[in-house]
Amino acid sequence: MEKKELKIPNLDAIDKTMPFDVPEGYFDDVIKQIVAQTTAPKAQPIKRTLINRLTVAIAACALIAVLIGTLLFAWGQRQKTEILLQEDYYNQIINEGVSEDMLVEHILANR
Amino acid sequence: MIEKDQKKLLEQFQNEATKAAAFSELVKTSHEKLYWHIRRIVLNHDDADDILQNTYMKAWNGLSSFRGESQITTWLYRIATNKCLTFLTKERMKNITSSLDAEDILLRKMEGDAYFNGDEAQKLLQEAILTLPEKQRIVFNMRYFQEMSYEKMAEILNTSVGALKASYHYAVKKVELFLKEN
Repeated sequence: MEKKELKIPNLDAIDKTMPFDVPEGYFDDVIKQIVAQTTAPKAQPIKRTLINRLTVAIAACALIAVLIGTLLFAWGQRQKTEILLQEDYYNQIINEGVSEDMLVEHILANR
Repeated sequence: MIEKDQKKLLEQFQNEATKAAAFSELVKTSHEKLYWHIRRIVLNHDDADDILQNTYMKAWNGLSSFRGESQITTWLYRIATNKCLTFLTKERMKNITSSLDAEDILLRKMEGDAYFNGDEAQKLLQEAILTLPEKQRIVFNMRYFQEMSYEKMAEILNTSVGALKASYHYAVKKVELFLKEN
């Protein structure tokens, strides 16, 4: 059985009314705020469909292919330039009166 | 809330078409009491307003997990009380380097609050209540001011009725002692 509640003169002497207040119209406004914050529809995240994923994958592959192509083309161009420069160098040596046999011997010795 | 109403509300929460309207109804019927429960703990209007809004936000997000094992208002009170306790812990951490303790800061905030209109005796009573440990303070407020039944308090605070009665008894003694000394 519940005992009788404690009665304390000092506590009873104090007015039990609410010592706190709220801004005017607060309870009406806060309902609107809470309802707006909670129940308002949220922006839908972009759905990653299979088609979207395939498109992204194809685009990525195309980009990689272009990059590899560019690198290979640049590398080929460089090689071609190097060969041409080397031929020019040998022609120049021949023009200066060095025999082809001596030139072959020189190339073989420097390999 | 009557059990029949609660059942109807829970059904509405399960239906996407009626969920928002049902929640809006719940806010309308519970927000004022819940605000005063929070305000009694944190004392300051702005803090109470923040906690109230966060409470409903959490309730909205957790609606799908609410199984109706307790009254929906009890569930809201439980969320609000936990939010208040978290707030008080954060306030304590924020002012860890301050010479004032968290209760002094709460008291100062209350005194500076434009929405506190209590007289000297009421201010003294709040000071007395602030001398109590946090959980005991909540018990005191719920019983003394809100006149809540021990059974409902037990559900909200997840404690036994016996422990709550003892806690309230000691709280009243401490408040009485403070008032006598001051």
